[in-house]
Amino acid sequence: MSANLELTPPSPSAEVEEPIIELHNISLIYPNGTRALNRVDLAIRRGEFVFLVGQTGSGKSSLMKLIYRENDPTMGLVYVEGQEISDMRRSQIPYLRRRVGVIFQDFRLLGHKTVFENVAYALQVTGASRSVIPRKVMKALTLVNLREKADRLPNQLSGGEQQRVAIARALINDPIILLADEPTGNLDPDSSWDIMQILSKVNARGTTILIATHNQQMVDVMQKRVIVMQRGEIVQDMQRGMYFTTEMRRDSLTLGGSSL
Amino acid sequence: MKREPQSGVLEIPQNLEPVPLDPQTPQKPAPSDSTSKVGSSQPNPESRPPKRAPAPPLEEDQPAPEAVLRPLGAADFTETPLSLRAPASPKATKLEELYEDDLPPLKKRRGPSGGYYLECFLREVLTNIRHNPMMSVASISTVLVLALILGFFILVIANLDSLAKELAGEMHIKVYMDSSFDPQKASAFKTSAYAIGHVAQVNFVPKDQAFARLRQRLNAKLDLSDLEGNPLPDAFEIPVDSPDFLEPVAHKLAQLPHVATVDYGREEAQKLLRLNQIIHWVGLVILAMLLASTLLIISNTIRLTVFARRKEIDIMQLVGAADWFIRWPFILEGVSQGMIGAALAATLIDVSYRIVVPQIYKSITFLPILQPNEILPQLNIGLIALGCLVGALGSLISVNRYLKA
Repeated sequence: MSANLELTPPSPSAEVEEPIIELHNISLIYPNGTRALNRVDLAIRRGEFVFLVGQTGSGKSSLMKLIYRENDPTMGLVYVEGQEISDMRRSQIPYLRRRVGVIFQDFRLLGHKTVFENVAYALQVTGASRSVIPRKVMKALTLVNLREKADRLPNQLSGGEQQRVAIARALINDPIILLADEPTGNLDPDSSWDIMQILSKVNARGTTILIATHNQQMVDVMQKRVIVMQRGEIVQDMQRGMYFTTEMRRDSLTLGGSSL
Repeated sequence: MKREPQSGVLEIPQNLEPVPLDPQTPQKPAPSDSTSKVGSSQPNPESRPPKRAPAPPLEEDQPAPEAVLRPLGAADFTETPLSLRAPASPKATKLEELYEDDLPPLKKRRGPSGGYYLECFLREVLTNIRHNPMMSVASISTVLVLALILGFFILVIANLDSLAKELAGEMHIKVYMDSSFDPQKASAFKTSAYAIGHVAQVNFVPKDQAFARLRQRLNAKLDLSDLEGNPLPDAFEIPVDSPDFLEPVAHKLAQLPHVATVDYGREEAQKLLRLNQIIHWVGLVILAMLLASTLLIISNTIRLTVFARRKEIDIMQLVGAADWFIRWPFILEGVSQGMIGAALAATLIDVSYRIVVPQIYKSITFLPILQPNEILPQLNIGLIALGCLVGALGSLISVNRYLKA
């Protein structure tokens, strides 16, 4: 079913550039027997902005976890920047995660650290020098418009602000890929659009972005590549896609819509 | 949470087109250059190709087929600040600047020193303690109580041990002379006794003196006045170098002339020696058990504190913290808690021992209690070292459990 091959539109750079994320025939079965992913093939090129949609339990999060090596595939190969990561040594994983930023629905900030410290932590981890940290952190916070709130604790911020801190933290090491697992799931529409706007900016800088979301409107408006998952399989992959519910897809198919 | 879709939406992607093509804005070299040293030897995944150039999202070039796909009647997002015209908008330009002046990533930097990390870790420890003081109090008081018990037990064992040694050292041979012994020849007997060897001293106790001693010991409890004469024989008290020589020396003394009986407390001596050994072994076993349970209890306490922070550990791993970077603050925290708890215990034991010992001396003078300075310094150092060790081990074990998970 995977349609990734036909997807790639002919373009001068297409032959030269290898996909930044590549999944080869991935199956993932959890220890309890749940089949989370079933023979998934996927290629995402550098600089793409991709939505991953599908019902809860369709395998979106599982797929993302493969990319930052939270999950190991039961079968198949995962490449990030051409490097096979599923046989990566444990000690190497932190380095992968500095290149792959991740944000979550529940923000995952360190509760007892200030906004500044939260973002700085991701830098300290790399051994960044003391003189660089404040400068870079403040820049990242400026990017997400939180400069003035650097000294607040996460629980003093709104959900949207917390998510922006998480984005700043995810970006601080200049990742090549930013994964967002339901980034707007807990947010009101305004904050959600703020987040999307920031992610678009980030994408404009060249960072590849992969967002798992239920937010239909967002997907429809953004007009980006949309990958639809269902029961652990990729059932649709559209270059300029819309969010389809199951029924809607049937309609659109009969209408001869853009679904590939 | 849905908004009403409205027209104008579809312009956004078109405006986006020029966004990614900023090849002239020099891509910022990975700032991780500097950090790559952390990883040192390993083939560093951070040394990524410099071409982090933004591949223009190619799909933008395609003719938009979305006209068909506008079932929602184009969203009304004019109010939403979806300013996606990145390069054109002032905001985006600012953004570019923002990252551009990061370009010279300082000079080539040496890898961060141990001091750098130590500072990071100590700050981390302080924040943690400040953030969750009750957890620290729990760990510290656990160590405190266990160290108190352990210290008290060690003091008791050490004193029993020294008591046994002392008693064994006091053992001596008593030689009772027959009635034909002439006290004038006592010095001759002494010379021959010394000749046997391993004899520390030879003390002559004339029968009058022995009788006086007996009378004194019995005090007024028993009336000796109706006793005719002195029934006690002349005697010699002969301490030897070591309890081990009691028997052979006693045998040789028995061969000397005028000797009636030789008493070297054979059974008592052996009992004492055995007692000494029992105290030693039982003490060691109990000590080992106490140590094991201390370690267990403390590592359990620490495991609880770590458990409370497993989410934190998760997050740290997510942002790319290496295991050791996560582990060290926990270890330092464990060490400091162990040290504080043990130091408090040591202080308490030290002070109370110094108060109690003179009191015991006052009431039971002959009890050979160890002097505070004979034992306390070693005990204090030992307890504190143990506290640190246990704290470190406890955290190490618990953190590792969550790191592997």
